[in-house]
Amino acid sequence: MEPGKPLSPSELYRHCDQRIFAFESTAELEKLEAIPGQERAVEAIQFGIESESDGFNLFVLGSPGSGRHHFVRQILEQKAVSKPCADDWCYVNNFENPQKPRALRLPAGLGNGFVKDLQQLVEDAHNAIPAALESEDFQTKQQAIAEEFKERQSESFNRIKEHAEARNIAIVETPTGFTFTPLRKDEEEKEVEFDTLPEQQKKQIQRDIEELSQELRRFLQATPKRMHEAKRKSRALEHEVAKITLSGLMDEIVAKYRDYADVMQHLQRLQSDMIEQVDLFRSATEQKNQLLAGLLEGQAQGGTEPSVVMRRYGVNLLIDHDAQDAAPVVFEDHPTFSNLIGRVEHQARMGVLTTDFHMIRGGALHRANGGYLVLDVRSVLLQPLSWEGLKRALKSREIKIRSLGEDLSLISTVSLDPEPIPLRVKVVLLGERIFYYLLLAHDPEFAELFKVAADFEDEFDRSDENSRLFARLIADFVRTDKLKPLDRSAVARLLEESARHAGDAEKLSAQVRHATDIVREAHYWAGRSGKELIGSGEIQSAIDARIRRVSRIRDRMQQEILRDTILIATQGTCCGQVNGLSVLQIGEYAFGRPSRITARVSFGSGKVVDIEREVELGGPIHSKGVLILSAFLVSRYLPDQPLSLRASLVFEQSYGGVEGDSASAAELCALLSALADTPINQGLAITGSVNQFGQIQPIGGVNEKIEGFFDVCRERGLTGDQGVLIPCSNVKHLMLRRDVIDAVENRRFSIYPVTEIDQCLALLTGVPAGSPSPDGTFPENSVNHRVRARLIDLARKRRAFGDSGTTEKES
Amino acid sequence: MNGDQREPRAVRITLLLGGGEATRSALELLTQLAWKGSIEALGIFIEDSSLLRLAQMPFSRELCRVTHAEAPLEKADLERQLRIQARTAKLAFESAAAQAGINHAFLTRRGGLAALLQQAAQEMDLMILGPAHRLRQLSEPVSLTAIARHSRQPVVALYDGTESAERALLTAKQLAEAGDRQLTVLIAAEERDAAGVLQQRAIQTLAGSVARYRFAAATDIATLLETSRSEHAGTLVMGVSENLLKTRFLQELSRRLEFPALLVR
Repeated sequence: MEPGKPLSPSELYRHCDQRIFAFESTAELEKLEAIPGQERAVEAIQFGIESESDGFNLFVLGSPGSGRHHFVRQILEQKAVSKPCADDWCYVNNFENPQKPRALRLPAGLGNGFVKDLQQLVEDAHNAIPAALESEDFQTKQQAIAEEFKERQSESFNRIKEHAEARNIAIVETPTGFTFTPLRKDEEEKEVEFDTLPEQQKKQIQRDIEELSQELRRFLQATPKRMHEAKRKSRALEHEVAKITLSGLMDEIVAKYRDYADVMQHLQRLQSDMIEQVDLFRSATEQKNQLLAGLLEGQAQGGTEPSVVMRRYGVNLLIDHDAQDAAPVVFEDHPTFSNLIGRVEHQARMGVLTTDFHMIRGGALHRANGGYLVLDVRSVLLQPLSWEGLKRALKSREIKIRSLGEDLSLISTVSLDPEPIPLRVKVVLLGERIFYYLLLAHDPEFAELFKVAADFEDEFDRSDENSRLFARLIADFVRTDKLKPLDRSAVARLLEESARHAGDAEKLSAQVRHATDIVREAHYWAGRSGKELIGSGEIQSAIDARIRRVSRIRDRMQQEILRDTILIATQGTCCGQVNGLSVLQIGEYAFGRPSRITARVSFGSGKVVDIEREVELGGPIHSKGVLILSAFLVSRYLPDQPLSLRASLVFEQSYGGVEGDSASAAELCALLSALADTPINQGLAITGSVNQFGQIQPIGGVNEKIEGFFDVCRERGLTGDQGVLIPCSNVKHLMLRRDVIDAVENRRFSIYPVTEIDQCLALLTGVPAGSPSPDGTFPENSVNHRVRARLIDLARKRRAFGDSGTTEKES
Repeated sequence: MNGDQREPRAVRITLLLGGGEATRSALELLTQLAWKGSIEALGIFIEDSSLLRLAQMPFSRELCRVTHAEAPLEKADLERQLRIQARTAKLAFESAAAQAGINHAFLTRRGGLAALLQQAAQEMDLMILGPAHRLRQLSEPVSLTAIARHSRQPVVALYDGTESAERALLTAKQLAEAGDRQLTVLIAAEERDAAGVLQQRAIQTLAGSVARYRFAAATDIATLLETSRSEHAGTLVMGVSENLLKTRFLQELSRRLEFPALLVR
């Protein structure tokens, strides 16, 4: 490659040498163990997942489609196998405070058994307790308690009655109490004519009634106490019977869970509660025969359904790791607050929302506890309060289920407050770089909680080794997606396309999705052709079809150029006018198009006006490029005099924004052409940025830009004089289309690498640019000489203008 | 339609309603009798005039069951309380009768208990007496009357071989079968031999229905209630003859009942 000289066809495209592949089809390739070109990210992930310290959670940065999900899953699943299986978690009733259900931890796989064991226990208790309470022995004992109460009451009352009868007084019940009436001795219950009695007898009766009333009052006052005593005895008897019955039933379950202290504690509480709530187990039959039904009035009536008992004593198996032999790896695609932290559901009953510990649902954190949780950071940030919830859980190292309404203080109804579950999880966030840097800058907790960044490369070196890994990567994908295998030529073509996608002949794109999407399409084309293997032809068809589908706007723009609606000259010469090149990105598709850049100069105060900037269509980088031109002009041509020109630069027919400095070389050439009054060959286009020393610097999208100008020239007919000037440093990025290479091969089109602005001027004008002599002058008739002469002339005019006492006022 | 095809006369049932438990038990029994088809139920709430007279006595004081406080027994208060009880009893009676689809009427009568009971007994085929009638002398604490769930406990029938006893036995059988309750027959006879004969007749009357038979040598009220209690009686069913109605039997029985009684004429 020689600057200023056309590139050879071999320099325009780096073919993949198929000989580096030792396979005929990708079906022969082994599974890929390492991720090509992502050693740095893999190291970070390995470190992140192995580090046990707090806050060493991972943030995997990278572009979408880079296969991060796939790679992270692969690594995590490999690692998970070597870790112990996570524990099962259950919620059980808190008998002392049902609003705060208790969390129980059990080794993996035992949770399900525990649920069944308790289910069986409740069923057994439901049969055994009523049977025990219906037994003749129990009934006899209960009856004895009732009889004792009854006897004591009768005895007490009969004593009062006897006292009353002895005084010829009857006790009579009124609607709300008792009263007394004197009786005649001969006929019971017939009231005496009180008024006819002697005064002394009246007083005696009143005294007697007073005494009896006192006695009856004491009796009535003592009755609740006796009743309570009878109830207490009755309950104690029931409890004793229930306890003995349950002890027998629970022996086995106690032996099974002896090693788990929390479970044992729960079983003890459960046993105590079952004894306390023995009425829940009474069958309807038993209740029919309740001797103390009256005493127990107000308590549960009728048999209790087993389901009700089961809800009280059952188990909500929140997390079940049965039949798993590795730590969990959970990918949560929809990380709402509830899906992440868990929730308490409610059920509408008779218009009222009710809940209990059975309605607690676990979230992704519960499922991943003891293992790994992978989340897409964008999804987490988009869900209200999910990010805050996640951080809170990681900070506190426990999962506390709270409803969103509760969290936002929107509702204040009494709900469940489940016991928090200890959290030990490694969270892996996947996201684009911008999220990582934004979070790092704006969320102080982020750096504390996500200490490990795994930055996925967007591209990697196109070495032979990496090319072979790339082939295995494609082979893996083909196998996983059950597609037709690729032959060597197809892999080679795909690899070249990957380099083109990377925009660099020496690199391969790490955006796996781009390659795999092409393979999927090629599979379709191979199927249509009835081929067993995908060949390079199918890959090319897929690439062409993809471009065709998305190139409507490109074609429309090109059509407008060809119809001279957009003015682009590809032949002839013109002063102060050059073909610049720009890239338009529409979705994932980028294409190049030529833009006419013009420059006009006149006498002025030394200002180069960027019209794009003046109308706020130019971005800051573009403006920077234009300002560099001013500096270049001053330092190169008139370092000891003020610039006395007014120059304007414009992207003609550009109605959208212009950004980037890749047109600064073109703008400089247009400006110098205008100053030198030297026409520019319109068959050429130029791209590249320029610095203050006139050096040409690399730009992006070089392939698209060249192809954009080539397409216009080709449609108008290639003359052989047409071509594109590109920065030398962009030559390594060239992966041009076949038709461009063919045109170059046939000398119908040229690509010129350039390093200096002078090379550009010489190529564009056909006039030597002229090298400066030590005194700053340039050879006669060179472009630079003409520029300098014009600038000197303008400076002289300005001085003359200033001497006449008038100054120019710039707007 | 000729005279022979007339519909059978509706069974007239009189319920003597008091407060609280008495009314509940009586109504429960009434609804259990609904199987009998055409029934006319008459609910009577008796306001005992003797109680009202008592309220006018200078010594009359009431010991409140709830607060245990003592206060003068005012006639106006008593009448108000009786009205409330009557209203409550009426609502409960009408609701129960309507639910059971029974023709019904309700009235409140004021007068002497003995006379009112006799009068009510004359007008009925069946009479239901609730337990713990408010007028009975307190023989034991009221709260104990609620201990038993009468409607689920055995039906005890008194059988002495009379026509009314035959009808009472059949009624008791139907009551027991409808409520899936045990039937106990108390054979009222002075001697064992006679009792054996009566038992055979009762067995024939029951036509194969399972029952427990027990010999009752004495049928005075105290013995009858004691025997019934020992059988855990939920309901006592017995026939009442014209002669029996002329005695103080009903008044005495109403005082002492601990469970509802069904009297069959």
